[in-house]
Amino acid sequence: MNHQLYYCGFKIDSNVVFPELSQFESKNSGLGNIKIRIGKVNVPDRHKLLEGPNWAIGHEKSYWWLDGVLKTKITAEAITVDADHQAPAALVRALILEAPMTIAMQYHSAFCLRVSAVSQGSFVKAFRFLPGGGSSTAAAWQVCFRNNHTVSSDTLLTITLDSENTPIAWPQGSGLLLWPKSRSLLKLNHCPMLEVRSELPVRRVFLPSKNNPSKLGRIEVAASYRKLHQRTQGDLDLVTARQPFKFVALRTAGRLWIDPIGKSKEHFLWCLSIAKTVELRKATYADLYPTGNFSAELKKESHQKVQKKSPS
Amino acid sequence: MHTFWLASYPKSGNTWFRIFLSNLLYPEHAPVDPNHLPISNLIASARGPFEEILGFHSSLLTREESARLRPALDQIIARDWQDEICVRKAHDAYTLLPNGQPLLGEPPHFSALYILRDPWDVAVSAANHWGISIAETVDRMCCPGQNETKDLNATEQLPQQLLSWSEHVLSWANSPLDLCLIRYEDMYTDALPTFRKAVDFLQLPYDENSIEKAFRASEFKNLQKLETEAGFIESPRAGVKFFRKGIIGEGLELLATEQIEKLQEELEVVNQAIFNIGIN
Repeated sequence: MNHQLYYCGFKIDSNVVFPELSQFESKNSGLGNIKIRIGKVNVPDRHKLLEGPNWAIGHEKSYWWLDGVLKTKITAEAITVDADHQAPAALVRALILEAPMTIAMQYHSAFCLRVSAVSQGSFVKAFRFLPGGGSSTAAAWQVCFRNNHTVSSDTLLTITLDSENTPIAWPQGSGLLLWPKSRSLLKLNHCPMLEVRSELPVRRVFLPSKNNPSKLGRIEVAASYRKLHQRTQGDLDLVTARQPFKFVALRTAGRLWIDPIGKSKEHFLWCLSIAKTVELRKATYADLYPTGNFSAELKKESHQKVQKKSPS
Repeated sequence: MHTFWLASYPKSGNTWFRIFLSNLLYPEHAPVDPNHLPISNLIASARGPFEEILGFHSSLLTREESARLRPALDQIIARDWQDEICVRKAHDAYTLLPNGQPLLGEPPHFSALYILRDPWDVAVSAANHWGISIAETVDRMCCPGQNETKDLNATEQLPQQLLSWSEHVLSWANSPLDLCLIRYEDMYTDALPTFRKAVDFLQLPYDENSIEKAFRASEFKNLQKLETEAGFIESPRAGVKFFRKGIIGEGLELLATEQIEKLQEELEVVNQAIFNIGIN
């Protein structure tokens, strides 16, 4: 039995069940169709493809794998999945929604930023902290404590350009990956959520979601939510150096695959349009956590006292 | 390119050495801004390149699974390294994966410069950095097989296996890697010969004058001043200084007698092993 699902602006025709996407009600799939099929995958002679540690990329087809978990073959039309029978099913599904989908979308000239994002009425704002820096938490906070905010994406934000080269962000539809500390601070323990895998406490949490594409308005960057006040290397250098183009290029999901897929020109123009029109700025506590207990908790965490000497 | 691990237990002078190295390699930028080092800041356990190169969210894997992927990743990073020399910070202990492969590489492609600091001073500095008590820090440093426990939240780094303080040192000392050991205390009291030794190990062609200039540009009081003025990207939390004091023997004044004794036992094990192995 095949299932019709929606992910990052694409209609997914899958014979793999994806509970991760079942709560997403968008019917907007303007970017194209991708099939997901179970099948045998043998990674062939890779010499005609660009090789990485767990991928081999070509103009028309690519392979992406994780030893002991799954192998995938990817074309513009379909992702063929060959999963190890002992691999956790939720992990297999989560991985399909990351690298293989990113590659398949690139074949359609659809590129993603690796950010978390929320929709605020008519526009989308994205958060880009260092990996593990709390951008998912920042997005969740906005939805929980601010009016009219809904989830747009967590790991992948697909952006296309409309006829006037305005960047349009497409909702991802797979919830937010949140760890116990964030769920507890945000009091989300009773929300609908899915286990990603039984060995890990991270959960896919479903909050009210945006289900239509809208204009990307702003990207906020920081090293991590704990260091919003500080200078940082990397992303903020790019902001202060007024190099938003470089920021967008470097933060494109799967950027190493764009050249071997043959989409360099499209990607260049995509980066340029986003850089010209989207505001890129340093995130601050005031922007992200203006009120509420979470702000107090963050500050408390930031000022933990260090006991200098044990009572012994 | 050959990878030199700049290895140490946390809070043992690793960052200070990288600032020295930046001032040495880029004298035109000296004194370098610690927030914008001209050399790469890429730690062995960084999530960023893991996610960028492999193509998925690292939170989806267990600590064992992510560790299994790191050797292949380090090879790719070394292959594509752009700087003059590939020196990367590492706080992990040198351990073996379940398949017997070392987490942090093998000779001849990897070697290590190890910085050793008196454990009582590490304890004071690490307690401040980790935001826990000195007692808890000493327990952690003396607990065999100790892992960092970060399972309730993701952080900017992949989980690292530190082991106890002495196990950490000995894991590197007993590794098959070509290893140069320098002591943090010597970086203060016998600075130029100590930095000379490290520079020679890294096969960098710099004379005494260049080394001295780089050392002067990296003096701790300058780093403290810069942190006060502009903050520091590696500080653990708001209001907590990274370049705190950097002095020798503070731990002997602040730790309780039994804590010093526990750490003294750890140090004796290390000193004896280093003597037996014959590391200079």
